[in-house]
Amino acid sequence: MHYRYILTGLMLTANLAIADEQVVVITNRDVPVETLDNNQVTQIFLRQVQSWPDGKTIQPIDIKEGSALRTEFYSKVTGRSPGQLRAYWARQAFTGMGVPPRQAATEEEAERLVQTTPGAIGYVGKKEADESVKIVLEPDKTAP
Amino acid sequence: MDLPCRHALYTKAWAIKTHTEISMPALSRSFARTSIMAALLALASPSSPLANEFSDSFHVSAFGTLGLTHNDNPSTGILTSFAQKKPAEEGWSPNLDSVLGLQLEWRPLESTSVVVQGAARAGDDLKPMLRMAFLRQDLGHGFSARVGRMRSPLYFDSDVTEIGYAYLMTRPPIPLYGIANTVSYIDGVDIQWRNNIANAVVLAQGYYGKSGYTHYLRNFDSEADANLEGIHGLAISLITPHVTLRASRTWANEYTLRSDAITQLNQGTVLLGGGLRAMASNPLLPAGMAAALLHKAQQVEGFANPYDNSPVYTSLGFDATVDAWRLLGEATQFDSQSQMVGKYEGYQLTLGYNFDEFTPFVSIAKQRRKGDSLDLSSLAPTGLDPTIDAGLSQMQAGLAQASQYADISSRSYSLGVRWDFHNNMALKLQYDRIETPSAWTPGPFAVTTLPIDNKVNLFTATLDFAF
Repeated sequence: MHYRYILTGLMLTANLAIADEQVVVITNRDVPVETLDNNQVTQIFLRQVQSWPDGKTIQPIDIKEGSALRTEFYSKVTGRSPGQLRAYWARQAFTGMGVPPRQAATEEEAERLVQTTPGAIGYVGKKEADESVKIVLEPDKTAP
Repeated sequence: MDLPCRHALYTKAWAIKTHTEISMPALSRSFARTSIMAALLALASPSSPLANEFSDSFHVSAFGTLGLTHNDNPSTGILTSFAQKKPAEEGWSPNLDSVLGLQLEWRPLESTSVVVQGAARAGDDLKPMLRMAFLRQDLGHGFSARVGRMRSPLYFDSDVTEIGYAYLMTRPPIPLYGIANTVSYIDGVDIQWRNNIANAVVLAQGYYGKSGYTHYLRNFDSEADANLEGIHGLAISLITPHVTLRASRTWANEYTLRSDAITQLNQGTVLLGGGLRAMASNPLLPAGMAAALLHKAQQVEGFANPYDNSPVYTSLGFDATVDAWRLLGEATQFDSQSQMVGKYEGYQLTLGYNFDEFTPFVSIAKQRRKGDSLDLSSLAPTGLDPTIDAGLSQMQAGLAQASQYADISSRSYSLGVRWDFHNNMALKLQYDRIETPSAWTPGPFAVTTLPIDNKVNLFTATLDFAF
């Protein structure tokens, strides 16, 4: 019985650790912007804005649903819950007006795709972001 | 792309292929009920297309609503459109909201896609109907084009009306959308242009095409073929991160409604018109009276095909999400440019608040007939021929009654809650009170005789899903 409590506690701690990790928005180094605000990133990840200022296509890279980082990103940056997001994409997909962003299985894969895909933008935990990508938004710093 | 990543994508592609193979036999059996459920269950996995990577070129996705509605009114059936075969009659019924939909998307190139979507509604005996079948091509510089069958763009929520999972309430308000839902698709072409302006995105959509449906005339106990030709319009949306504003105006050059009952009416106008012309040709009549009879004959013959019109649909709506609040509103105008069908103005306002997985909401909607009612003074008796006068009186009474049945004025008050209890699934409970202005106004209800009890209380429970 004790083991079960300990295990549950560890799992909760692990989840909180992930959820507490600061999320940052990163882009491919060739993207012609240095900073973005919450509204701009929201428009990009909802695929309302589809091109960079130089006319090149934006390639948003999402992380699979169920990831604590994804929930944190959408909550902090877009203010939308997972349910609201799913309803939004259901509308886009089933009315033929849009498709969701490409999805990476993990943070590591998201960062690799942002590194290697021209025009890509994604989000990772702050610890994951290295010199190979540009950090364009730190929601925790911009939050009131 | 490095090898582990490629392997992950390959594994993903294999998973999709496997799911596709499982679901394809179900498709080939043309939406048989159990097969649809099997296909949906096969799709209900983490690798379902809504959650898929776009590197896969073939996507299968599905949506659906399993719903039950209780109607407390024995004199009216409830419809979401006039093209719905079976209304939700008194008692419990799945006919109002239950639907299963399947969508296939093939993207051979990043800029090209082919989408086919079918839906089967309980209110139409689960008969499969094609909702979308188009080729989409991105043209560059923010332009894209679609050719084929597209969901209707008439009002703000016309395209999402039967995709319950994508909508806050169980359905868009019936008073406004009863008429708009009836035109569920357009066969034709649309051009979309998307551009960033300051911190907003402007999306302009121009469209041209035609549509058609079976219109159920409950008062005649018959059905009619409705066709809309030369549909053209423009929708402009201003999209900001938290608010979408949309204005649209759609014209149809010609709306025609044909049925056996209308053919009989047309024959009556020909007979009466012929009788009046024969009377006018009597050389003993004064010239002025003969001319008046000829004019009356023309007016009588003008009542042929009385439901034909040239409708104009106008919508101005918004959808705002601010923190946990959600506010939707829309003002609409439907102008048939015909005295029989009429002109209508309406609005709806919906407010929701998101508590984690729960979103309670309230909504009001109203649509009222404006302008002149059908002028039947030209069918007044002549006082010259009892047989002709009897025919004129009969036609006058028939058209007066038909005009009464054509009044779709109504209003609704709704209260409900949406519970996003599971990934891609939501449960909704909703209460609606819908009423028409009087017992002699059928509104959007399925009515066979007048008068009716013009107040309806509906209780609906739905399970919505999208995979």
